[in-house]
Amino acid sequence: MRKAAITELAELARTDRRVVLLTADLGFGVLDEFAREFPGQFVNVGVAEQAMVGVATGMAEAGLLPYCYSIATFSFLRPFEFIRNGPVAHRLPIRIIGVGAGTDYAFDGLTHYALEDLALARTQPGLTVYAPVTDEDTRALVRESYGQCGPAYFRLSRQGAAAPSHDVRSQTAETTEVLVLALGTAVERAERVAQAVAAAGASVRVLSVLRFDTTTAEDLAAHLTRSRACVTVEDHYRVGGLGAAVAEVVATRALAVPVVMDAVESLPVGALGSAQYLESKLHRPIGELVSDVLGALKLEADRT
Amino acid sequence: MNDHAREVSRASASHRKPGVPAIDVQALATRIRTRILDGSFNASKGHIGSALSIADLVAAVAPRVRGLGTREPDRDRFVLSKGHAALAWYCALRELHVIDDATLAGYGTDGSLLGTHPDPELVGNDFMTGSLGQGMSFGVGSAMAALRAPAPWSTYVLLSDSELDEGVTWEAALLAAHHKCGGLTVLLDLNGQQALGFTRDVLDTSSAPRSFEAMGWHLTELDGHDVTALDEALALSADSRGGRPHLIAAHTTAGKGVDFMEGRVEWHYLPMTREQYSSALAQVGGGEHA
Repeated sequence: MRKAAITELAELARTDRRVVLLTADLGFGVLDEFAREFPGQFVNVGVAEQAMVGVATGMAEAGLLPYCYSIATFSFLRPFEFIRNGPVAHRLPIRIIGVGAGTDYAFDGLTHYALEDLALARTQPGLTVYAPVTDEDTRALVRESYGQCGPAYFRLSRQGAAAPSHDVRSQTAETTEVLVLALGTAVERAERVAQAVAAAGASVRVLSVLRFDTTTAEDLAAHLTRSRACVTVEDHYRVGGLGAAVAEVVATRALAVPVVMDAVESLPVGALGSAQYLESKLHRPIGELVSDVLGALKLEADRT
Repeated sequence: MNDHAREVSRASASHRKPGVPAIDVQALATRIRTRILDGSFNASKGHIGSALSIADLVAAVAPRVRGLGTREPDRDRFVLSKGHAALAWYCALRELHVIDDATLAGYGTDGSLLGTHPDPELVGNDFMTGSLGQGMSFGVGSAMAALRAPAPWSTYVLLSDSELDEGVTWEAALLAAHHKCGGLTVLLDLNGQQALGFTRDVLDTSSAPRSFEAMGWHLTELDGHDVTALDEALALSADSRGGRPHLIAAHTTAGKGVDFMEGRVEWHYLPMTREQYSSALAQVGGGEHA
């Protein structure tokens, strides 16, 4: 996914000299070709993430299009106040590229887990969050964001999901009993949830939320109004993430759609492991989620 | 660009020629001090000591900012990294006709563009500041962009000595030296005070100017209230500095010009009484306007 982002960025850099890629000394094997081909459009600022965003602010004010690259906890969380006071406050076209959504850097531990980035990003007016699922999504969203005047944050996993995504924005709303909404590559777990729901006899649909911007609530509402219950699946803390975004839509529009949230609810320290291990440790068993959503459906049915 | 801004832009351009001062900087500094006292008293706001500390610095630098008051892409940039001294900058903008009397009079009132820290929507503020340590990196980014531009501009940053406590100031300083940002000039306001005491007691940063020099900056140390020395330092071209960024380490006095404020930490916070206002005005040589 990170390679896809940089490949697309190189396409943009080739025709637009305003594109500048900044890195805080990460991207081994990912940024090398870009750096070789565009030495005048590439800056390694050193291990200095706050300065990276500050410098990008000065560059963007002067008309350049800076992309700031690092592991998400470093490129987004560490300089968060710089993002707030720089690109957001000045409404500048700076793109923060964060690699390692959720627990993607499994064995590297909590310092490398971006589990609250979406929650923080959603608070910032005018900051678009892109959460691609596949490499194809990543390239399309890098292209889509190009030319947009405000700031953006790309929440990337190292590897994209294998199967194509189904985007809430482009998919037509259809009636379903259970709508499963996924964030990024957590869609693979969402598919397993959906299979279990289907096996229990309920109709189910899996969609991904690729963008958090001013129209995301509309996207969600269009699908939620055709659903009887919803499960949100994300590799992110429960507070402020996809589930919370869905719950805001349900509450503020008085939709009669119970929401079952699958998210990280405990502090992930003390037991490192593979992605599969972390999923089993940090998330509830899929069977429980399915039981909850089927229970919610039954309650709804009893009410009506 | 409005007429006033064009006038300022032309004056600034001519003033950039070394040895041809278009503006009496000393007189400008006195008018800025007077306006600082007026503005603080009328709005009943603090940060007076910080604003008086930099009055001579902004008087020396503001007329040099080519295209000040415009959003022209190749204009010079100015970053008031010590955003809490914004009133001094607003007074300079008024003196250079970038803002008018009504705008300045709105300082500290509802709906004003003039807060106690710079708002990005005010033309004349290139960057929002107020969170210490951020302005330096904004300025370095601007200077790095200028290195890539067909018509390079100059970037000026006014930095507080308390911002030397912030690690990111040093990150940005290293970057400016590494990338040879010759168009960057940082005015370091060494007034020796910060929010809770004297800098030497809170966190001793007295070695900072020499550290910058060791990193590859051109260093000029001077009396920050000597406008002639300031003017000469600001006139130093990037070529004459070997393309190195320029640190002007300006030794200043917080509250400069008002005896009961000079070197007193409490004037970081206090507003003035009418008696104090009258006394202060008399001392800086201005008439009472409030």
